[in-house]
Amino acid sequence: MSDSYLRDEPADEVLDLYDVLPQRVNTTPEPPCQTEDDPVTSMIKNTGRNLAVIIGMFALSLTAFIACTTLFSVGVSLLVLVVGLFILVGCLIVAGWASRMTMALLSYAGIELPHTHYPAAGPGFRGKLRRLAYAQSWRDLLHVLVNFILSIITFSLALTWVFGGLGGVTYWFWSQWLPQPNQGLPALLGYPSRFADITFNSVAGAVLLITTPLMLRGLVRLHSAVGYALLVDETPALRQQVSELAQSRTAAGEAEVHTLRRLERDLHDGPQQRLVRLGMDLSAAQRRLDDDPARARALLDEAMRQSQDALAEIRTLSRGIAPPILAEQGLPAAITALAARGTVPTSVEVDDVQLTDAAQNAAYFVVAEALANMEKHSQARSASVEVRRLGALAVINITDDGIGGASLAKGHGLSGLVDRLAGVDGTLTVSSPAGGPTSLTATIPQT
Amino acid sequence: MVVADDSVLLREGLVRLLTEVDTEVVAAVDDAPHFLRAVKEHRPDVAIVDVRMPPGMTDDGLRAAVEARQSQPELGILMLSAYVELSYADVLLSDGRGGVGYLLKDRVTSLDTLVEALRTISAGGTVLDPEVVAQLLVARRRTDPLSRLSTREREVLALMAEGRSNAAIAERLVVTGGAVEKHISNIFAKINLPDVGSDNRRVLAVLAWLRSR
Repeated sequence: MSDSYLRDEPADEVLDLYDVLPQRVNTTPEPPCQTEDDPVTSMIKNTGRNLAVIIGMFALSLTAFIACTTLFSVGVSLLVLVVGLFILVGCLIVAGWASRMTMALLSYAGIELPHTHYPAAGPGFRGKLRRLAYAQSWRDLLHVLVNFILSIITFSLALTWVFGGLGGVTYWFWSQWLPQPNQGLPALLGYPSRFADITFNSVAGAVLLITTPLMLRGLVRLHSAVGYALLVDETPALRQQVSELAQSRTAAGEAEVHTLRRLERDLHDGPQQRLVRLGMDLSAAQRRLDDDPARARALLDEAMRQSQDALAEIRTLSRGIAPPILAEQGLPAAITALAARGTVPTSVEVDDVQLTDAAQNAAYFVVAEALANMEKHSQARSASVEVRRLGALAVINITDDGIGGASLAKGHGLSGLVDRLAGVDGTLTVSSPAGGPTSLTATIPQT
Repeated sequence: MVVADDSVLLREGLVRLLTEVDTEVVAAVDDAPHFLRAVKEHRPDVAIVDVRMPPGMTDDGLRAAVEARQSQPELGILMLSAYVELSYADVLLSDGRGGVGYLLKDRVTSLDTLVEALRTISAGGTVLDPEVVAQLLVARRRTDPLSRLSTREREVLALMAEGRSNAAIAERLVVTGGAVEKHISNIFAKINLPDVGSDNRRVLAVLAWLRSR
């Protein structure tokens, strides 16, 4: 089974001590790193990265804060003169820039936040002012303020940890150059010896140093939490999803309407005509019964044939509707019935898969259409149908050893299946090179 | 003969057909409890039973037929259903004795088929609708022994499973009786089944094997 036919699965979430982020943010456990590094090296690299990000964040937020505060104050005070509005727009633009830089910094640390789209500046007066009406711009501005305050804290903490740690563990070395008398905490607690001093600082330093990676990571996560809260606007993404779902629902509805229309037409053209003809033949036979029995018999034979043909036609047509066997006995029995009906020996293997009724129908029709196509065009000598559970998906695979040439293009029988499957969030792929063999693979999410 | 079917059209149609071939229909009933009572009272040779009947409208007819056979082992049953349901064939064949048949309702529009089926059942043979047999013959795995059979052998196996005698198979495929015998012994060899001799017992052995896969 080729994995390329399957849809991508979302990345697993990794929980760690500081997991304050909701599910929508993609977090990698460590930033994109080469797998050749051993754990220690990669940890050191990541710690360095986190430190760089925190320092960078401080510099960025300081700059942005100063710029935005200035522009904001000037802009507001000049509001009476219209030019103030444009200055405010400038302020928002700077805030937006700061947001993008923040997200860039965070992504350097391995945290990806979904980007927002800003409305493009339109032509003319009004166009330039469009930003003022866009809520996200103001949230960006708020973020500048909040991030500034936050980064003062994180910056201080980060530096304390790093330098405290490094300094502590090397205290034994450089403390000799400290101006004497040097009264540290141990001395105040009643342990004036140099040994106690060194031990205390070394231990403290060691503790700080050991917890530095976690601490820095946590501080970065704080920034990303704030960033997520203020910088990420999920509404467009949600709107997109709603629109996609609406589309797939429409596709499903269309497929059904299409099928019903075709059925209506076929019923009218086929069995209905035959039954009318049947009635005519029977009444003609009635009339001839006494004076021309031989002719009557011929008409009755004809009527018999018509009725059998009508039955056969109805049976064929009702295959366009989900057959009762599917609802009553389930997918394995229904697929076995399909396989039995054809002239090509077909093997059937169906795992136990959990599907909604609509999904079961879709699966059934994929197999039905694929087998019908195979009968008509492929000249195959054997075929197989497999339905397997693969993670959260049901995978349906129909293969035959025929001459190939199947395609999903419009006009071929298989094209309607794509819509049907889309209606249940399924996919369809075909591999059918000229000369064969043909393999059709459909995936449908299980319930 | 007892006829049990909840559709009045089909029931009366069957009675008419049977009367035409001089078969005495002692009772025509429309639900499972009535059927059991009729069988107990009249002790017919054969009964034609629809699977789906009141009160349950699922497989009441089938269960009633099985029950009737338990108290009256020589009772032949011809079961009719609208759709192929392999599990029903399974239940019918599970007691390993002959004298049962399973046909789709569409099949009984032909009087010849009906008469032939009743004759086989009365003689202790089994009758299975070709569509039922086709489903039984669907290979279950790639390694299924059925895939080792040639096309001709599959045809012979299908006709055997339907309950036809060797002579009937030979006539149907337009070959000699000897050729049919040869095919059958090849089939038994390929699916690893010991040959048990008579027509009836062979059919039962094959069906048991097909059902057990």
